[in-house]
Amino acid sequence: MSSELTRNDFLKLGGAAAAGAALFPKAALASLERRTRAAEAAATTLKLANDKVTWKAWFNTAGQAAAQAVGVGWDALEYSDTTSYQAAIRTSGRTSKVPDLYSWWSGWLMKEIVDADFAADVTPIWNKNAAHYSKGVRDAFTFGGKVYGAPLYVGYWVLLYNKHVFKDAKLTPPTTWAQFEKAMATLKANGITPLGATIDGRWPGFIYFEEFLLRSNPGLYQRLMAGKAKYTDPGVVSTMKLWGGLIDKGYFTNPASVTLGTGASNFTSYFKQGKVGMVQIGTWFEPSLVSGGLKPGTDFGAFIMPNINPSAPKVVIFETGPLVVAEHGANKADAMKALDYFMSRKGQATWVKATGFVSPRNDVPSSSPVDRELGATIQKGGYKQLNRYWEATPHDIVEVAVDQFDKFMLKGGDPLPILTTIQKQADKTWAATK
Amino acid sequence: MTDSRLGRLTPYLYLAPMVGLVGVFLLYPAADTIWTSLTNSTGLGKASFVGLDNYTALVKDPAFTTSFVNTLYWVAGVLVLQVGLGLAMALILSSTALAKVLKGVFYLPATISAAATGVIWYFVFNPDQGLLNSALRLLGLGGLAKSWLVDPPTNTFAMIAAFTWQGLGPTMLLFLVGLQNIPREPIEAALVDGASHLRLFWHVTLPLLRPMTAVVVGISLINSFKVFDLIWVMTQGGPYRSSETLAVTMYRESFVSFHVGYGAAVAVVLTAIVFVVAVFYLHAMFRRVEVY
Repeated sequence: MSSELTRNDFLKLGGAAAAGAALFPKAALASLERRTRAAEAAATTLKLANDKVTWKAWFNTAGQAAAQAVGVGWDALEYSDTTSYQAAIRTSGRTSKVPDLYSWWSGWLMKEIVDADFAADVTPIWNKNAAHYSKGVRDAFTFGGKVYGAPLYVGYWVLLYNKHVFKDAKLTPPTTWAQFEKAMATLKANGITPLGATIDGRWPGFIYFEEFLLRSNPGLYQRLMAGKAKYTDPGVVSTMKLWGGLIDKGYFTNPASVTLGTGASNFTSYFKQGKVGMVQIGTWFEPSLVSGGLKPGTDFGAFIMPNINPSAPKVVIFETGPLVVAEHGANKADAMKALDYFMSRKGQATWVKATGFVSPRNDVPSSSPVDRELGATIQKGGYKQLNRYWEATPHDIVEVAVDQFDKFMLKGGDPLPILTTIQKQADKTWAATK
Repeated sequence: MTDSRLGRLTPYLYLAPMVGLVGVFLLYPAADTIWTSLTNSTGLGKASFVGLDNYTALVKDPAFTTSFVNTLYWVAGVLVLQVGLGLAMALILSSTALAKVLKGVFYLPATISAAATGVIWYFVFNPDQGLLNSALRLLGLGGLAKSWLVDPPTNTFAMIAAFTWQGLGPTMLLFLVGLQNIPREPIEAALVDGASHLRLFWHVTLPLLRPMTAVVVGISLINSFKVFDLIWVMTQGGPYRSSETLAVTMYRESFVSFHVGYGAAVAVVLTAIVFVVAVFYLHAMFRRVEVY
């Protein structure tokens, strides 16, 4: 099935193009284009399933580049609904009908597909590129000593802020909690909602819980994720009270009306109009702001939320999702080849150029000045990178927790019943896991 | 094989394709769902038999209770609004000259998908920029503006309204057909006897309309139990599971949380309820229809 451009083909193609170019430049270019298309058409085209509808063009651009480079490319197979997507992979994972490559989530969700033998072992590809990827990213996809995916994206969870709004309010990115509180109060006094928050799609409920807990006590966050602390512990309760206090002060957008996606009430439009000053989100959200007409570095910047407890270690939430080769896919060998290309310098350069993402590969620089600055801050500051809530703790707990956090964002009040409900699920889940 | 034996077999051969299809696509999946509901299946790996654990967990699950109550809201809401309004509109339209045009207008929402209806009404109900709150503020009724899809049970009622908007047309049309098929004689006889419009409707039109009412109520009942797409698009059963119905809970448990065994138990309970309601309803309706 696979058909690479052979050396002879290449020489013929290059020779013809060179000779033609000298004599008939236009005709030679057209001929080269035709031949390139023919090479693409002859290449194997795999299916790359994902639930990232807005990434379709990026996937296809990278897929075409792969087809030209190694003779194996891919087309995006889109699922607009994450739930249907997960169900499709789970039901087809054991069969040859499974898409050759698919995007997934790291952490506990990944462990499930590894345990079910749905993901191919890609350790040799990682070993080949060992010098160019951090151990943290590798560890996120490692189970039982083997690596089961390539990083499709990496993102840090930071506060993106509107630079014009900050300038007008005479604010600079805060470096202490007191400064952060002052920034929120100043924005509010100027009629700007300090922080963007939403419950659109349910999952964003955990965002501020995660961040405030991390800023108060990173050790407690880690213990909570591992089932070694309880949601009803005083440290967690006080974090919720802190969050509730900020909600009461009107520092967040109405979570029921703002959406992350498209439509009249999407966050980007509020942010662009300067109605909202900041949002705690993954850096993968930057392309959405860019497509909304905002320029990184000029219109928006990023900073890491300061620690509430100044003596707490420097930490930042990190998120990554794998691109997985289907263990039982019909074109597994070709899919391995495609993944090998994807992790290569050339593959990453194409991907980062198409997406505007940060590359986890250290010899591929980001195109965004915001990300470059952030990368430098994290590296120089010696920030410890912790896994995101969504991936860091068992999914049964996450599912209950996000609903409860959504409830808290909408209704506020005493956090204890919310935390007790989550802890009840945590007790059940950890009892079944241990 | 003798001719007589072949003759005896013939009816069964005619039946075989349908029996086969029903067996493969209905009975087998149904039996498999019942079996799954007795396991701790997660959709991945091997499941083990847990007896009635899923069913006892259902009874204790507050999310299931909310979902059950919401399903009752849906059934009652759809019956009252869709059937009641459908009948009222059919009565009004049957006596206006504009019936032909209005029929088309009222039927129009039924031609779009439930998902599209969900998207439209999601924006209508948006608390900040939604059409409904904007209209209320414009009319000086800003005090009535609220987050329609947030607070229970308002969120369920809001979605029932959206569902009614879409389902009203077909219901109205069915009643119009029913009204046209009513014989003129009993109505004229009642008018000659001096019956008022209300008495005429209550004692003559409505009883004569009963066969069509049976159909409309039956369809509405089934639709209200199985409504899923509209809810999934508008609220995903949220926030905090406050607007789930049994159909949504079944989907969520099976395909969001991957408690496939538990989800199957919800499916079995939902099917059992619909089955019992359908049997009682059809039994009652057909008995009455025969009397008339």
